[in-house]
Amino acid sequence: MLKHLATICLLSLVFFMPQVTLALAPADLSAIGDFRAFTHNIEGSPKKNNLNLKMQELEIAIQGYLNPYAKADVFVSSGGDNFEIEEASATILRGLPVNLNIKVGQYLVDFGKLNQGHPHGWSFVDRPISHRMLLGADGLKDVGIGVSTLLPIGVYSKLSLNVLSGRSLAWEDEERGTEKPMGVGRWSVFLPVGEHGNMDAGISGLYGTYLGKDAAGADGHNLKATMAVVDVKYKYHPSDYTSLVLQGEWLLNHRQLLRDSAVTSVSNGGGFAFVDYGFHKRFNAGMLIDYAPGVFDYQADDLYETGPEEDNNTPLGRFDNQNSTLSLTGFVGFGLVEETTLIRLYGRYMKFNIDDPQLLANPEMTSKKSQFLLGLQVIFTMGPHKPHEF
Amino acid sequence: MSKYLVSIAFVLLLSTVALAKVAIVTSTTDLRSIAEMIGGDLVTVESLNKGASNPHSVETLPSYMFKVSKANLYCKIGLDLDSWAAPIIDGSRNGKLVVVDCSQNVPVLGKPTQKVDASMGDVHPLGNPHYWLDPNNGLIIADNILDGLITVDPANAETYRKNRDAFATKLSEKLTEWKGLAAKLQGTEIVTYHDSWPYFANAFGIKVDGFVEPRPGIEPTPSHTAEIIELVKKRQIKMICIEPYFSDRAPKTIARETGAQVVVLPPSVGGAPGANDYLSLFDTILKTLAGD
Repeated sequence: MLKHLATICLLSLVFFMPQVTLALAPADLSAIGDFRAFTHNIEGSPKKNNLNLKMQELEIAIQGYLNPYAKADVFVSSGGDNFEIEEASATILRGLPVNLNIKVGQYLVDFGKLNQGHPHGWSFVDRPISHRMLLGADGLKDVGIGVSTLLPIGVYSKLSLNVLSGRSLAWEDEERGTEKPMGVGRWSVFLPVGEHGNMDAGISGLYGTYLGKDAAGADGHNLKATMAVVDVKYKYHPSDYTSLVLQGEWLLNHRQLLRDSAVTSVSNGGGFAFVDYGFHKRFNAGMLIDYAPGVFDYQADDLYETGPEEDNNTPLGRFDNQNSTLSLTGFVGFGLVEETTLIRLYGRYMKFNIDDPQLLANPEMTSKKSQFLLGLQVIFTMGPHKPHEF
Repeated sequence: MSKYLVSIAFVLLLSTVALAKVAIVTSTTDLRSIAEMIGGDLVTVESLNKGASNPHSVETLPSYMFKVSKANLYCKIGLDLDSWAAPIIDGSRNGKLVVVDCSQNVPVLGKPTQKVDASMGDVHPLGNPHYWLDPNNGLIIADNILDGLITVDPANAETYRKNRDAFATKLSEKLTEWKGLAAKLQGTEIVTYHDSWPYFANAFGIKVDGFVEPRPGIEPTPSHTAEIIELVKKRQIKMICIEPYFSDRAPKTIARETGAQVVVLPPSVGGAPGANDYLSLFDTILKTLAGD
């Protein structure tokens, strides 16, 4: 109930804001819809081989300046039922010493490069499974304070440090929580490469604690979570009609675990790489390869629910060093007029490598070797919100 | 010994301050060229967009933010053409940056008289932003840049004013020369790819009869191309003018069907060989149109 009230209040504020702030330009207001039609061959799902239609997301973005020094960004999104706050942050842009920026609120943390963006801006359609398994269904999103500066080294190089609530280390379905704030940092360098190319490379780290349970189910144990990611993006953009993007990230994950009242640890990793070729201005095509620890989408409940795009598919990916998922996505996109209307066809093949004896004892899992999904995505964007930054 | 070192350091510091130039970043090469003429040896100027690239859609590269972070002055086109500059300026974190909107005081053409929405294409709600293509507006741009320069470097105001007057004199001389060159173009009817040339056409008596784009920013469609073919035939139009950053596919189709000629015009400094500065840009455009 409270959630509904908060949503109504927020939306009312946005829609009536232009009338209230007569002397100032109203904030930019945009809406982005993401519609899907897909079919798949997932064993155990009643929707196998059906035509499934889904409104994946509606995002409303409100962005504007607070004063000459600061701006605010609010994104609320809905996957069909409730609206929830995706991001709500204020950033002090200028006026601070040593080129500092300060960001406060809830935001997508600059842990790697891809995590900072919203999925509708990605040509490969969905968040990579490596991100979903290791960072969460919506990526690494948390409440906190971020400070960043440009380093005085002759090229664009940014160093950022975030102190976050740590709640993003928790996973909705599992009985693990967090107790203490966590720290996330990233250092990146941007370099022009030749006349038409640019490259951005970064390295990020995360350190936090999460509440672990012992074998008897008692909690109160602070266990360590350490993660790192290396990211690289190269874009060759010789004209408005042609572009080539190569981008990849590799995430490393190290967790302490309580097993039989003894602290052990799990180390695993995952990552993705994609190529996206833009041709003839309005068309692009490419391929994403994606590897993650854990078995993606293995819970039967989720299969019965809505299919492979549902959240919470892999609650134990971060703690799984026995099984893995490999995915290959091919995509072709058509932009009618820039980002205002995007149509994408995509096909995803997913292969599972299951070594966990417990899972192998389950006949449903032993029959699960691979799955294929074929889908159509239509994104429509109203208003000035456009994902453009390199 | 230490006294000498301190003295040397002091002299070096003073000379650095004395030699420090005003750093200007501009959205386009046209503004860069005018800023160079007004600033002379006292400034360094960089343009974010290249002369042969589309000024409507410039990527917000961190390297641009880095350039702006070192700048004293940013000169933008305004009228919503270079709205991409806002995130670059924000990303630069430069709290001391003075931003000059060079469209100030320009008599703007094509201001919409009705509510503008996306169904009309990429219409600029503040009016057509390609105003630098009327050389008479060159002086207004120069005055705007002059104001910005005096704000950031008042000590050299007199030099900037002299440079501005020298630019005005050169521009005036060139205007007479260009009018001579344009005499044989008076009343010439053309079709352009995008609505980039109303200021130029207005200044030199050329008539733009239609556009290859069905609506601003919208890619050519077969039905609209067929309409333009009919128009070109009916009006006996001889030239389809395009910018170097647009595809020549639809213009070539029109040319093939009608016998008209596809002419690539530089819309900005650096957009074609010979268009090396704001004055030679008009030399190049007029000579290209005249077939010289």
